[in-house]
Amino acid sequence: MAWNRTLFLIALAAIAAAIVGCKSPGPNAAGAGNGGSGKIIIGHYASMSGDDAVFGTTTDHGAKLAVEEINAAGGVLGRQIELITLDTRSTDVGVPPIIDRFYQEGATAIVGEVASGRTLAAAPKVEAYGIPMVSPSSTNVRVTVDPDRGVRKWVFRTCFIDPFQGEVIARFAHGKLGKRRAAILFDRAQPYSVGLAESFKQNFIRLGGQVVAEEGYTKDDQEFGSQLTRIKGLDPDVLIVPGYYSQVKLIVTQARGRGLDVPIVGGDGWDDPQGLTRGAEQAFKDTYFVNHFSPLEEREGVRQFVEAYRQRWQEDPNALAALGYDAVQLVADAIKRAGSTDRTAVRDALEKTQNYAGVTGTISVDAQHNPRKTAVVVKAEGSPFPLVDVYPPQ
Amino acid sequence: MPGSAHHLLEFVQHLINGLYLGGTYALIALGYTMVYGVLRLINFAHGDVVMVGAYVALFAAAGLHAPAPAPWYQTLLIFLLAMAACALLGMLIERVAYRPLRQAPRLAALITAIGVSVLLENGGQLPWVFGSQPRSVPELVPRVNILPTAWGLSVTPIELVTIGVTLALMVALQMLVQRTRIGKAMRACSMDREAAYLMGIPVNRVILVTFALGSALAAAAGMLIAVKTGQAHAFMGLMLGLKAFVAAVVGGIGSIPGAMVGGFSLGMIEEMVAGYGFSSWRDAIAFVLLILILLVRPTGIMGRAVPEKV
Repeated sequence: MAWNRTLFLIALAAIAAAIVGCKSPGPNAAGAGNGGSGKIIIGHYASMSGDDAVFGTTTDHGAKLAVEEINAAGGVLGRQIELITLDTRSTDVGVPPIIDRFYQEGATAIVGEVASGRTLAAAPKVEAYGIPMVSPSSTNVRVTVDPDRGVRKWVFRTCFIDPFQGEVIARFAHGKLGKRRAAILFDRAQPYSVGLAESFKQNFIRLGGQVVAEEGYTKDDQEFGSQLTRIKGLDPDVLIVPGYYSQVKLIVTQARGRGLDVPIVGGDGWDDPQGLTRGAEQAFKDTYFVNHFSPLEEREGVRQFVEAYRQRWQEDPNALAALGYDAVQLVADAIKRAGSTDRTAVRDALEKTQNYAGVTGTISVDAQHNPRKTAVVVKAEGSPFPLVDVYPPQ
Repeated sequence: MPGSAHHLLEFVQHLINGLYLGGTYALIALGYTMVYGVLRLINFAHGDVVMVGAYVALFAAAGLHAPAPAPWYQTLLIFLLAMAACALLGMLIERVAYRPLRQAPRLAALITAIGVSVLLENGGQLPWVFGSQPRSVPELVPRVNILPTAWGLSVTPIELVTIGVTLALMVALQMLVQRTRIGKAMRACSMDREAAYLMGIPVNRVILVTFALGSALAAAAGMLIAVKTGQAHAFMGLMLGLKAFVAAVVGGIGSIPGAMVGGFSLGMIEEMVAGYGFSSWRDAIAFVLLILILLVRPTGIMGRAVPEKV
């Protein structure tokens, strides 16, 4: 018995030592971005695991590629950039502690998230701490504009917003597909999905279409039979699913299984080029989604980026990877223009961004901290997804 | 098609959907109810055993190079492999996480159960375990409509198999508990563990068997659900486990027919609520039901009030 207890205590001590050993070196200069020398820290919070793991891992690939390129070219202000990526586990509650940690580490700027709900969970914290944050791909309006207090001083993004994305879905469904009776199936718990559904609805009705059904689901749902049965009964000619890819796959498969054979259209939350249609190719016939970027675009810089990315990660970049790359490059550019790592100076430089040439398009920050960018519509079929249509900002 | 016939069809479709949904809840609820019956423990890791079952089936299908749809004997083999693997896992969980706390306050075991659940969910996401991204599961049993399109109804083989397997396993379990020696021992442990021990019943072994059976049922559910949805991921057991727990309580926790009644009731109620315009209430309704039943009839529909031992 005594022996057992000794062994147990030793094991416990070993585990404790291992945990303490893993902790990174202490906090550095928490005040105004990390000091005058050493590395410039950029924090990246991302869904590296959990339901939306594709969001985090692909964005992180893009961000890492950007950091590696910048460092290989001599860094910024003569200093190397260090990217610290921490996992939100695809949860909102995982976000605030990460922002605290970035603050303690003395991060100059923060990049993240993809899901608007999680970026919204970070926004109050970065506003309080005064750390500039660039969301690569959160499209919800409230990410940069607090409905009660106006524009968030410290929050920026490198992507278009949902009122535009919803309009593009509506124009595509109404114009290109020629559909008039839309059904919407959206995630009621995600600000992204709710905002996009709303914007689609307004625009589709304005164009003369009719919304025959609006059904909801939540994050943990795996069965959509009840909603799809109801939708089928209302006889729509197009189904709009502004959700995230893992549930989109289930919805599309189950819709086809129930004989709902109308075209299905979604937004950038579908962007999982490797997994979305795998094993469900038949079901994904006649499905489309709006996106920020396609590796097939013939714009300057796209081919170069796609080749560098392929070489580094042995896969095609999706839009999230390209936006992750742009977000980090934009931050580095702002630090360069600010001439210092002072957080306020970097924020001011970000706000003054005009005609920054990113791989996902030209970024000019407007009064609401949003860029105006072109959207593409791709077909969810094959790899990479074929480009169907391009919608420049109006 | 005339309006009324159309509405009738839609209603029948909702009935079919509800039956399938209820079947999956019932199958998982059986495991909760068995463990509770014998140990008075809510095994919150049960939902995650469902997830492990789905992954074992996925790996077994890959290992056997099973085509989609697979021949029945291969499907059955994969099914049994998943059940056997999870039976072992269930026994391991009992041995490591619950037995050392057998004499501790009940709350301690409950906390350990949540700990095991968190371990399985997050451990499962490690790249060398299951990985953090959803994996697609082959269509071992077809998930396409077998009715003529003109009927406007959809019934898939996997739904029928799920309902059939649920009923068969429930009957088998009921027979086992009522008619066999080990079943008698389980019932004895359920009534009074100490007295059973004094009568020479190997209590620890009985509890291990209970966990093995419950976990095997969870694996069955996990495989069927994963084949139906075509997807497995580390968190798939979380909500399923909670819903099945509600089903077990509604039916009367500790009662096998109760788990069945609770499972099918919950599935049907959810389907009707979601299918007739209240889809955002789908999850809420399960927990509203839990609160109502605890207020009105805490022993559940089929449960009997057992006087607390003093």
